[in-house]
Amino acid sequence: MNLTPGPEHFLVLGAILFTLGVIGVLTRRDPLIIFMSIELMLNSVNLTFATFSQQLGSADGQVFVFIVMTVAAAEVVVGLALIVSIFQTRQQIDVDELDQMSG
Amino acid sequence: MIVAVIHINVTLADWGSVLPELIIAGGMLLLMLVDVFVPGKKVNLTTWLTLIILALAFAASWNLWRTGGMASALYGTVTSDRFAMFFDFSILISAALAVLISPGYISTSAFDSGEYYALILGAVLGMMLMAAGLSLMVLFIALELLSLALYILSGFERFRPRSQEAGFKYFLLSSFASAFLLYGFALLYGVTGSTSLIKISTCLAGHAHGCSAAATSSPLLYIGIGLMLVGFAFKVSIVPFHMWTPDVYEGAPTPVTAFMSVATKAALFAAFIRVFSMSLSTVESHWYGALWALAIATMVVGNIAALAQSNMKRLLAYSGIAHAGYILVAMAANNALGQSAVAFYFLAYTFMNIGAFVFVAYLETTGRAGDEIASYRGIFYRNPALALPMAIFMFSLAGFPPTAGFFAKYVAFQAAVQAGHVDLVVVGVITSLVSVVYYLRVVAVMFLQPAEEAAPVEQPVPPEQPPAVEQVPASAEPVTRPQLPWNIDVGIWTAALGSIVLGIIPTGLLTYASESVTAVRALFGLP
Amino acid sequence: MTVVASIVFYVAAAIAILGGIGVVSARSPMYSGLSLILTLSQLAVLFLLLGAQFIAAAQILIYAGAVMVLFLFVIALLGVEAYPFLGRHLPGQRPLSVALAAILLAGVIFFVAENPRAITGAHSTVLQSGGNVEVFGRQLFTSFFFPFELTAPLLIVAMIGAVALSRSRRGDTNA
Repeated sequence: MNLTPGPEHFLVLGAILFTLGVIGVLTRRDPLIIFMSIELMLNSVNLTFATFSQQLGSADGQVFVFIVMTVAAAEVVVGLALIVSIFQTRQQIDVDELDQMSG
Repeated sequence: MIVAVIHINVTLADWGSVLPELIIAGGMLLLMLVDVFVPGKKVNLTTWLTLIILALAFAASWNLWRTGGMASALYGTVTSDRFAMFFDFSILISAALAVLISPGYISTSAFDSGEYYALILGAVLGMMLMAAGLSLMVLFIALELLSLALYILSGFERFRPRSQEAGFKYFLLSSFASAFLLYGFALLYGVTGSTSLIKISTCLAGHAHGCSAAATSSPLLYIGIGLMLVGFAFKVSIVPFHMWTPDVYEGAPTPVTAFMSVATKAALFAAFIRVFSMSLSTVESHWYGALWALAIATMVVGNIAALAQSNMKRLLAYSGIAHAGYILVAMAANNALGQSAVAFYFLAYTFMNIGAFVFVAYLETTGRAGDEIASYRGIFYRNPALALPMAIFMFSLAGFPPTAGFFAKYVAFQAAVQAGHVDLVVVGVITSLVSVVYYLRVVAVMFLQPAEEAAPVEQPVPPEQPPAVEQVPASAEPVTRPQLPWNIDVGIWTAALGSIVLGIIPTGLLTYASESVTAVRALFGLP
Repeated sequence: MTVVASIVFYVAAAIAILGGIGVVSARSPMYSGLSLILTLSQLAVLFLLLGAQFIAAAQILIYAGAVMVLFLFVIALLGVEAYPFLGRHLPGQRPLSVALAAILLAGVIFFVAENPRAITGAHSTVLQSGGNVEVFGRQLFTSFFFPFELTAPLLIVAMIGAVALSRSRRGDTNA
């Protein structure tokens, strides 16, 4: 394997980041960290798309990256809204327990 | 200085081929406007409006079906071929049935009806695009569109942390699966150099100029196929990626569960077939083995886990997993008959599965614990108009002869035999026999005398149970039957009628299904 | 690639991986989020190396900027405690998942390293001619005009969802 970075290096980096994201989703229990691990996975896919786009000399991959970014932003909005609404519901259901938690 | 002028080459015909989708998108906006500008309670208004929008979209789909649609429109990113339209029918019918049973839910749970229906239409839009997408990009956006709408709908119920947590769990696992699918798409794009399904298929068939012959043997293609398979399997709840299904089905509001249990799977399977059976058909050897193993695991685990359920929504979740297994058998056949079988299966499944959920939804709105099977004891004597259709749905799901479920399963297995996959059919038949036990248990509980003392509910089902259905109605006629709300009445009997008619005269619709498959195969240059 | 570009690649890649490790191993979501910003900014550098200038700018503005600010805002709003409503681990899930992930990674690296020409097509200068942004924009508004339009309903659904979920909370307090 050549040390001058070629497309393989970018692809391997993408694979490493994707795998880190998978590990995060599978091993962590904190919903926010799981969520951010998923974002990491999406970003590693974006890197893969951009690499192929450059390699193939077509802008299709870059357009895909752009679309993925938009989708990820929408996903973040919904996911965070769900988290906040769960949190607030719990707060109302069991105020005492939560006071202890955040106190 | 050079001024770049971009000509967007889109004709009216292009827009015409996405007319059903445009109607749904416009309807979504209209509902939001109604929500803002019409004061007071408007559950009835929005329900009717949603039904009218769905009917218009159905009419537009029917018109496209009649004319044959456009093979590819809008720069080849989307199609309106008959295959897409056939799945649109399933999606629109199941959405309409789910909307029909929603008002009771909206009034008891104090949903905001405009937002609720707008999100349902958003999900429908995503599903229709999923069935019609010809580009990996459209497929990805459509998938996220339907998923986002469903996450919110699953977590929509106030005062029920369980519903919200179901929504969030669904969100996390489903986005996880989306990331796998997307990585698979990226590798597929890298190997074939295109995001268009048709160009991918010509590249892999070795016809494309500039696409190397090594593409079909590229290791990246194997990895990409594996990742896409994981993503799809997750979304249609195939074992071993099914863990989320029972929790989400149980936690989500029942009309939403009914809708997503059928329509999501229909849309995802349409895309699954377009990507795997069509676009990747030349490399069938890469994925057939995995599909075979998934089909067997899904049928076995789904049916066995369903045996132990005491909650109707969980039972239907596992039953849905099992049915995904049968559909996978048809898909693994990878011939025209198998693909028509999948299309037909979903139409049949729409009626029988949503029918069962209508039953649960009605019992829930009447204040009973509508999803506990034990609470169905003797319901036939209290409310025969509710119990009889439910019995039909159970027989249909179990696959008894004069029903839609039987015929759908029959065609699926026939296709597998035709393709020489007898092993899959043997497993399918054996697990279907197992499924009879849990479906008939529900029927048996409904037809038991309402006992005062707590008798054990799980009684062994006597083999002469089926005939009992035919003989009891006569004696039960004088019982005062409580009046069902008209919408439940319409919903449950439409579903019952569909489950029976599709079983008795299936040939017409089966012809339609095979016409739709002919269209999509022609699009991808398959015989 | 020039020597400078090679060095930039390795530095950016190393920081990105460290950031990734930070995301999955941080004690609190706040550190996890900051690590993610680190990774995202390094990815922007890598996008530049790949000749995707527009994507690099969007990565900084949209992702590392807007999206992550939203994340950090919610983390700050909720406090840094973990909310363990996702249920317990299955026995042995942790080692099993790490092993599975390691196999996945090893597979990808092995195949890519074994078969560097796995990707079809040769280096092309199409993207460089006339500037990346112009080619990108041309594609976005012709061939991929429809997917681009489809992001509109997607964002509307996300918006309705966010409003609906926060509205139901207000209803709770009124009730």
